Amino acid sequence: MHEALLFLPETLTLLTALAVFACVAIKTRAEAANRVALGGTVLVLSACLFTLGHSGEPFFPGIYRVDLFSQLLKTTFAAGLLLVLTLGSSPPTLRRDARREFPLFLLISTAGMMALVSATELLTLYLALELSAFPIYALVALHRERRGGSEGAVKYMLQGMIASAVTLYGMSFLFGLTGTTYLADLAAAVPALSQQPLFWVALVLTLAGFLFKLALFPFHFWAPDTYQAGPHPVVTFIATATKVATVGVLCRLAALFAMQEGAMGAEGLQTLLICFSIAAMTLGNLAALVQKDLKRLLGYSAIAHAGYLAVGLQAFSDLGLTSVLFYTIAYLAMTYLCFLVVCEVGRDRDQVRIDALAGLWQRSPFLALCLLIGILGLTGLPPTAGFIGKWFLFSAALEGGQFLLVLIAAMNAAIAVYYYLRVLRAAYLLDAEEGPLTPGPLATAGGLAAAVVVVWMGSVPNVFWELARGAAAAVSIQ
Amino acid sequence: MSPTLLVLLTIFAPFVAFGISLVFLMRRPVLAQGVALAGGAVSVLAALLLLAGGPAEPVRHLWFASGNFQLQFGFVFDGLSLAFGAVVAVIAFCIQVYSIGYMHHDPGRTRYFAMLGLFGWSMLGFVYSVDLLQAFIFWELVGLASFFLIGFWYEKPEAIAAAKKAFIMTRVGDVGLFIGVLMILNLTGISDIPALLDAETGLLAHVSGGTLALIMMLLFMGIAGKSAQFPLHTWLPDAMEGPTPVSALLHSATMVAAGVFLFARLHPLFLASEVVVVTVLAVALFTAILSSTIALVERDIKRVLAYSSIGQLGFMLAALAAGSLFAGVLHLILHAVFKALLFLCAGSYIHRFETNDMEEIGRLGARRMRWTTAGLLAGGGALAGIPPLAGFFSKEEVLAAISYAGYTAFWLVALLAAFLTAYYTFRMIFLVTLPARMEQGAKDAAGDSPWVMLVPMAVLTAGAVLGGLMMGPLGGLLGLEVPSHSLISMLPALGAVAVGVGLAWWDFGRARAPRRGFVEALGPLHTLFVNKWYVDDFYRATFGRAVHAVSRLLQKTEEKGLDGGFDNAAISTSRLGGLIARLQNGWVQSYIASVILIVALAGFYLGIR
Amino acid sequence: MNLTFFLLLSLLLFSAGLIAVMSRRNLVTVLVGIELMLNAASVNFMAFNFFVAPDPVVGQIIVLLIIGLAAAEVAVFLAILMVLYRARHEVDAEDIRELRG
Repeated sequence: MHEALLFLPETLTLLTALAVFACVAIKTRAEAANRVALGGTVLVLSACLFTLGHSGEPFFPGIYRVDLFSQLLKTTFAAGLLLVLTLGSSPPTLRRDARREFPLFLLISTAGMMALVSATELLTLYLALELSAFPIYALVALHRERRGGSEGAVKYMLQGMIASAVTLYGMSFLFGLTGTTYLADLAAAVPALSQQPLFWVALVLTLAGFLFKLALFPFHFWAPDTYQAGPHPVVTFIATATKVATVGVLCRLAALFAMQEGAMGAEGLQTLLICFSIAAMTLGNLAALVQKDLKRLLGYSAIAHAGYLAVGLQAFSDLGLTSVLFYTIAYLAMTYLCFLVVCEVGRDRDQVRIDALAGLWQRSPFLALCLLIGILGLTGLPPTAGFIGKWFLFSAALEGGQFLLVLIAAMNAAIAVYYYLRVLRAAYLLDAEEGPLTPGPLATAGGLAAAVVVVWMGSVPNVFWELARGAAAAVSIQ
Repeated sequence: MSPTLLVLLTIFAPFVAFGISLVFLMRRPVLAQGVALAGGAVSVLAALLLLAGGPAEPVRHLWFASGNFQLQFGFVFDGLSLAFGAVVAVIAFCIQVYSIGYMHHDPGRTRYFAMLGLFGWSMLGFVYSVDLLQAFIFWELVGLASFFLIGFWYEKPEAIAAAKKAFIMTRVGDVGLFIGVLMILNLTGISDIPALLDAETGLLAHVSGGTLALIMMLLFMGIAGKSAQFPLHTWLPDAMEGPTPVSALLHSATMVAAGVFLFARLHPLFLASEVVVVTVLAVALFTAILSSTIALVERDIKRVLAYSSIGQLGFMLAALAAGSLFAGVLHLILHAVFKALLFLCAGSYIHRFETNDMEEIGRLGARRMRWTTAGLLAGGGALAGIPPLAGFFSKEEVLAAISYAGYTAFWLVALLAAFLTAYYTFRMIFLVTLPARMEQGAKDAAGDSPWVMLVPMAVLTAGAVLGGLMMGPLGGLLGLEVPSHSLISMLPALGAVAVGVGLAWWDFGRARAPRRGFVEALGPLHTLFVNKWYVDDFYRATFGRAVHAVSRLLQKTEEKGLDGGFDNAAISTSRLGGLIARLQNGWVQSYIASVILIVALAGFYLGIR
Repeated sequence: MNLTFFLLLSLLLFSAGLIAVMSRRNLVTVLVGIELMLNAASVNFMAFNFFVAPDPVVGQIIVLLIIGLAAAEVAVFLAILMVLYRARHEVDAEDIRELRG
C-alpha cells in the first residue's frame, strides 16, 4: 500500500472537520452539520478498516507509525465517534447554540487521538495529547445549564493542564537523559538507563498526563465531577473513545520501556501500577455504592475499570497487553450502551438520577435491553465481553504471579455487583412514571451494534482476541 | 439420536422458551406458560432418553484458542451428569406444572415462567459441562437467575433485600471459586474436567501439598456460598421471600445443589488433601447442627424447610468428604425429590390459607387437604429418615460413609443432627396435622388444591416413597458398588430417628401434649437458637462497628441514601463507600495537592529503590 | 553557568508554579501558576538541548511549540472561566464546589 494511503483515516477526519467547519461558518442547520459529520465518520471508519493490517511510516522515519496496533485502536474509537454522532443533531443537554460545533470539536479531538496512538516521538505524543484534550474541555463547558457545566469544565481542565505540565516536565528529563525524543532511540537506551532512578522518576512523571485521561488513581478526581456535570453526549465521548486512545498510548509506553530485555528496575514501576490499580478499584467501587446520580456512578465505575485495566497492564507481558486491548474494545461497547440510555432518558434532564430509570423496560424495552447488556458487561457476568475480558486480564496478572492483586480485583468485582444491580433494579423493577421513549433509528442501530459486539465478544471472542493479539505483537516488536 | 443432539435439546429447550417468552409474549401470559411447559417437557424427554442411553464419551468443541490459551465447551455423559441432569429436568418440569396453579392470578406470569426457563437452562448447562470455565459461566448464570426469581415480587422490599443478599453472599464465595479456577488454569493449563481428574496427568500431577489445599479451599469457598454452608448460609432462609415453587426449585435440584454437584464432580481432587477433607467435614457437620437447632424453634413452615435444606446439604458434603461419592450423590438426588415435594406441599397450604405460620395452618384445617397432607407425610417421613422411605436409605449411606472412614467424632455429631432432623420434621408434621383445636368452619373448607398442583406432588410423592429402589441403578450408573450394610450397623441411626420422632410425639403429637418443644426448657440455648446463633448479628457487629468507628473518627456519620433493609454487611460497606466519596470534597485544589503528593511519593519510592 | 544551574532554576519555577496552583484562590492566578510550570519544562528542554543533545535544534523547536500550546491553553481556559463567571459572578477556586460526594 502506498505510504500516503496509510494516513487516510487522519486525512479524512481532518477533511470532515473542515467540512463541518464550513457548515458552522455558513450557519447551516445543525442537522446538516450532523449529517456531514456522520457521513465523514463512516468514511473514516471504512478507511481505518481498509488500512487495518497494513503498516508503515507515512512521514519522516521514527515519528509516526501505522501498524495493526494503531489501526485497531483508530478503528475502535472511530466507531466510538460514530456511535456518539448517532445520538442525533440535537445532543441532549448541550447548549442549543453549540449544536453545530459539537461534531467539529469531536472530530478534532478524534484527529488528536489518532495521532496519539500512532505517535512514536515525544513531542508528537505531547501535541497529540493536547490536541485531543482541548476540544473536550471546551465541550464540557457547553452544558445548557451553565452553572454546573462550567464548574465541571474548569475543574477538568485545571487538573488536565497540570497533569500535562507534569508530563512535559517528565519528558524534558527523558530528553535530557538520552538527548533524543524518538521513542525508538529512547527504548534502545533503556538497558543502559534502567539502573538510574531518575529515568524511572521521569517516566512516571511522563505517564501522569496519560493516567489522568484514563482516570487511574491518583489522577481520578476529575472523573465523577466531569461525568456528572458534562453534557450527556460529551461525557459519552469521554467515557468511550478517549479511554481507548489513552490505553493505546499506555500500552505503547509499557511495551517500549518496561517490556524491554534488560529493563532492570521495571519492578518499581510495576509495584506503583499495582498500588494505583488496587487503590483505583477499591476507591471507585466503594464510592460508587452511595451514588444517586447515574452519571456520577458511572464516573466512579470508570475509575474502577481503569484499575482493572491496570491489572492487565502491570503484567508487562504479551498476554497482558492483549487482554488490555481486548478489554478496552469491550469496555467501549459496554460503556456506550449505558450512556445511550443516559442520553435518551436524560433528554430533558440535566441530571440523570438512578430513579429516573424507573420503569425503563415499560417505556422502551430496547433501551432496557441495552442497559441490561451494558451493565451485565461492566459487572463481568457471562455471556458478555465483560466476563471473558476480566477473565483474560486476571489470568494475565496471575501468569505474572500477582495472586494478591487478582484476589483484590475479584473481590472488587463482587462489591461492584451491588451498585450495578441497583441500576438494573430501577430499570426493571420500578414502575414507569413517564410515557414511552423511542430512540431515533440511528441511535437504535448504534445501540444494537454495540450490544451485538458485547455479546459477540463474550461468546465467541476469537476474532477480537486475534486482532488484539496481533496488535499487541505489533507494538511490542518495535 | 446422538447424545450431543439430546443434550442440546435438554439444555436449550428451556432457554428457547425463555427467549420466546421474554421477547414476544410479554403480554400473553397463557401462551408464555404453554411455551415454558413445552420447553420443559422437551427437556425432560431428552434428559430421560439420554439417561436411558447410558454413559458415553464426552464431546468437546474448541471454543477459542490462541497461543497457549485454549478454551473449549462440551458435555460430559458420565453417570453423575446423566442421573442428576434427569433429576433436574424432571423436578423443574414438575414445578412448572405446579406453578400454573400457584401463580394463577399473578400478573407477572410471563416474567416468572421465562425466568424459570433461564434457571433450568443455566442449571442443566452446568450439570453437563465438560469444561471448568464453562461450568463456572453457567454457575454464575444460576446465581443470576435465582436473583431474579427470589426478587420476583419486587413490590416487597424484603424480597428485593433477600434477592440481593442471596446474590451477594454467593458472589462472595464465587470470588474464591473464580480464583481457584484461575489458579488451576494457570498451574496446569487444563480446564477440561475429565482431564483434570486424571491421576497421571491431571491436577494432582501438577500440584500437591499446600498449593493443592489452597486451591481446593478456594473452590470450597464457592461451594459453601452456593450450598449455603456456614458462615455463608444466612442468605438461604431469607430467600424464602420468593414464590414458594421457586423455593422448591432453589432448594432441591438447582442453586444449592450446584455446590454439592461441583464437589461430587471434582471429588477425587478434594479427597487428595487431608486438610480440606477435615475442614469440609467440620464445616458441613457444624452447619448441620446449627441449622437443625434453628429449625427446632422456627414457626414459619418455609423457614423450617429452608434450615432443613442447609442441614441436609451439610450431610451430603460430609458424605462426599468422607470419601463416599455414592452416598453423597444418592442423598443429593433423593433429597432433591423429597425436598421439592415438601416445598410444594407447604406452597399448597400457603396458597390456601395465606399464612406461613405452622400452628395457624394447622388451626385453619390443613388436615382436610388430604392429598397435600399425604404428600407432607411422605416427604416429612423421608426427610426424617423413616424406613422404607427414600430418605432412610440415603441417610443410612451417609452415616455409614462417615463411620466407615473412621471419623467417629464426626459420626456422633452426624447422629445428633439426624436426631434433631427427625425431631423438627415431626414437630412440623404434628403442628400442621394435629392442631390443638381447629377453627370453626374449618371442617367445611373441604377440597384440596387444583389438580395441576396435585399431579406434580403425586409424582414427587411416588419418588419420595420409592426412591430407595434407585440405589441399584444409580450405583450402576456411577460405576460404583452399592455398599451393603448389616442391620446392626443401621441400629444407631434408626435409634436416633426413633428417639427424635418419639420426642416430637411427646412434645407435640399426643392428646395432652404441652405443645412446647423440649428446647424451650433449655434457657440460654433456646435464646441462642431463636437468634439463629447470632450469625447475622455477628456480621452486623463486626463489619458494622469497625466501619462505624472509622467513620466516626474521620467525620460525623451521615446516613447516605440507601434503599431498603438489606444485609448489614452491605450497609457497612456502603458507609465506607460514603466515607470515601467524601474525599471528593469538591475543592479542586485539594485534589491537585493530593495528586502532587502521591506523585511525589511515587517518585521518591522509585528514586530510593 | 552549568547544567545544574538551569535544572535548579527550572525546579524552582516548577515548584513556584505548583505552589501558586495549590494555594491561590483566584483561578486566573492559578492559570499563571500553570504557565510557570510549562516554562519550567521549557527551561529544562533548552538546557538539556544546549548541554547534552547532539542535535541543536530539537529543543528550540519543542520550546516554540510549547509556547504556542500554552497560548492555546490560556485561550481555552479563559473562555471557560468566562462562562463560569457569567454563571456565578466569581472565579474563586474554594467557592466552586457544588460537585462533590
